[in-house]
Formats: sequence, structure tokens, C-alpha cells
Amino acid sequence: MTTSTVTQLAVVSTVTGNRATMTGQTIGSTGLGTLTIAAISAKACDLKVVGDIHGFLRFPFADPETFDGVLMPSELRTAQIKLTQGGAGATLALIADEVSSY
Amino acid sequence: MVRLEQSVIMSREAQSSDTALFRRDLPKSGSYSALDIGIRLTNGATSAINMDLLDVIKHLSLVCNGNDYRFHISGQDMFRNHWLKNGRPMPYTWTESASGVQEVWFRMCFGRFLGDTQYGLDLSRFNNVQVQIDYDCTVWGAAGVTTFTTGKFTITIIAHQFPYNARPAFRGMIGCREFYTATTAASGDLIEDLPSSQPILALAVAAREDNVAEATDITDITIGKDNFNTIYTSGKWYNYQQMQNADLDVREEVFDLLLSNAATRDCHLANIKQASVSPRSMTIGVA
Repeated sequence: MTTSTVTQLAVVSTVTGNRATMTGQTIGSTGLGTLTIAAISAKACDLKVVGDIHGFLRFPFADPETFDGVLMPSELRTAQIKLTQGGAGATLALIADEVSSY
Repeated sequence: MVRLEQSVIMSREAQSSDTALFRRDLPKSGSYSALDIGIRLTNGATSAINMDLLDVIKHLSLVCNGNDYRFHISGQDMFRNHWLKNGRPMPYTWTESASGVQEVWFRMCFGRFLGDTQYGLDLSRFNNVQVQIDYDCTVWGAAGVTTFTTGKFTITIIAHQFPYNARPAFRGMIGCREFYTATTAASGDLIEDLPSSQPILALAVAAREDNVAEATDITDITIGKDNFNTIYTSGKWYNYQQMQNADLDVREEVFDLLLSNAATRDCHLANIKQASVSPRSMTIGVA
């Protein structure tokens, strides 16, 4: 029996931070006992990753329903955040959820 | 609870400019619980390898009376903030396919939840309310077959509004503002004052760098007052991250790739516990 088969195989070989490195091969068989292997090139693939949200933390102060615990402007006059830096080059942003009255 | 109406303000309107500050005035009256903003961008005719649509969206803003920024946040941070706050991301399509359309949605929620009758955006309280989207498709490179198709940045805006005859008297509205940006240094403490004009419900810290392990660029966070004689919270990035991500309903992200051997892709997740890639084609024949 001779076969005519083309199959792609790909794996995530390493992960660093939010970056996945993938390798893949196209495996072909064009006849009895003939096998060809070539590096995959621009093939449609699905990638699924499972993990934590990258580079983002959120600190709620207020009860989401009652707003108990909200930081009022009187407290905020001297309020500060201190970040200890350990590596250069990250895009840093500080974001506040605020409530304003009419 | 009153049934909200979905009012389509604009639907997939293509922008002629690939780089612009888009502005759209909202109606003069109306009571909004939230605004949904959908962004689409068409890949080049060949591909768009490892191009992140969120990078294109420099800022999404809601500006009242010309200079009062109630929302002002980058696409990257708004996508993550919604995910962490609500446990799941807004809809997205990350695709690298030839002429594929990438898409992502954002929600500006002005209340504690959709349909909140106490907090929301009352347009009649302002002379002018404007949605602004600062975008730059050329962060992917010039328009071309391996980047994006020119003139294909499209915007959809949908308001979740209370019916005209059932408009609530809001006590206030919730906003979300980026108040400081920088690039981290290799060492040292960075201390910033918190904004003090409005009560703060929550603070978020974004420190993003591709291909770097979490808790590297920012290691410790302390929030307090009076020169930190009073501490609201203090701890390690890696501990906070475990605590905060424990409540997520969705912890996975999917991409449609055009994969070549030994290629890398940058995701919006880190501390990756599982990653799998599945080719879509296979032919098996018997001669």
C-alpha cells in the first residue's frame, strides 16, 4: 500500500513571561516507505495559552456594591504609591477607578 | 430593573486615516449605563504576524466639557482592567491570517454594573461629552501586505442607555483614568502621589514588558498615606498576582496563527501554565 499524507505537527517549546516559542514540522509521505520532513512555514494554527493576566494588578478599596472603604479626597491628600523597581524597560502605568458626583 | 436599550451610535465606520485622534460627540441628553466600543483592523493581504491590535489603540477617552477626562486609558490596560475586574475579557479575535480581521471590544461602564440606577452617565449634565480614540496603525509598520490594510480601522460605538421615560437620577458616575506613565528603571523606589480630586474605588498598576517574567520589573507595591505611616496594602507582585487571578472565570486566550518554525508570539497572559498549538490542516490518502 502506498500513501499520500501531509501532516503538520507543532509544539510550544519554551515560554518566558508572556512569550511562547513554537517549533513545527510538516511531515509528508508520498509513497511506500518514503517520509519527508520540513520546517513548517506560514501554516494556519490555533494557539491556546492558560495563565495569569500579564503585567497588571488591580487593588479594589471599596465594596463593589456599597462603596464602603472608598478612599476619600481627605485621605488622598497625603496618599501615595511606592513601587520597587527591579528591571528596566517595562511600560508602567498607574490607573485609578474614581467616582464623581453630579 | 429597567430594561436597557442598546443604541448604536456608529457601526463599523472605517476611518480614512491610519493614524488619528478620533472624536465623536455624544448626544446632548441621555442616561447611559455603559458604552461599548468595538475596534476592527484588517490584516495585510499576506499576513500580520505577531501584530497586537491593542498596541494600535494608544488611548480610549471619555472627555466631558472639553477637558474633563473621565476615562483615559490605553487599549492594553483597558483590555486587562476589564478582564481582571470582571473575570473575563471582552470579545476579541486575534488572527494573523491573510486579510483577516482582528477585532477587540472595550466597555466603559459608568455604574457598578449594567443597569445601575444610582451611578451612570447623564449627558444632560454636561455641555459636551466626547468619545476619543487615539489610534496609530503604523505601530505595526507602514501599511502593507504583511502589516495592515490601509483605511480599514473601523469603530463601533454602542450605548447601553435607560429608556427616555425611565431615566434615573444618578448620584454620580464611575470613571477610570490613567494618571501616571513611565518606563521602569533597573532599581530604586518610585513614589507617586495619588490623585485626590475624586474618591478612589480602586487602583491598578500596569508594568508590561514582553519576554520578561512577572514580578521582575516591579517587585513590591505599597499603597499608603502620611509618608506610609498608614499602609493600605503592601506586598510582593507575585503574591498579589496569585490572589487577584484566583477569581478569574476565564484564564485562557486563543490566537489564530500563521506559524513558521522557531517563531515566537507575545500573549496577554503570563505565568503560563499550559500552552498548546494545533495545526489546522492534515491530509491522509491511500493510493
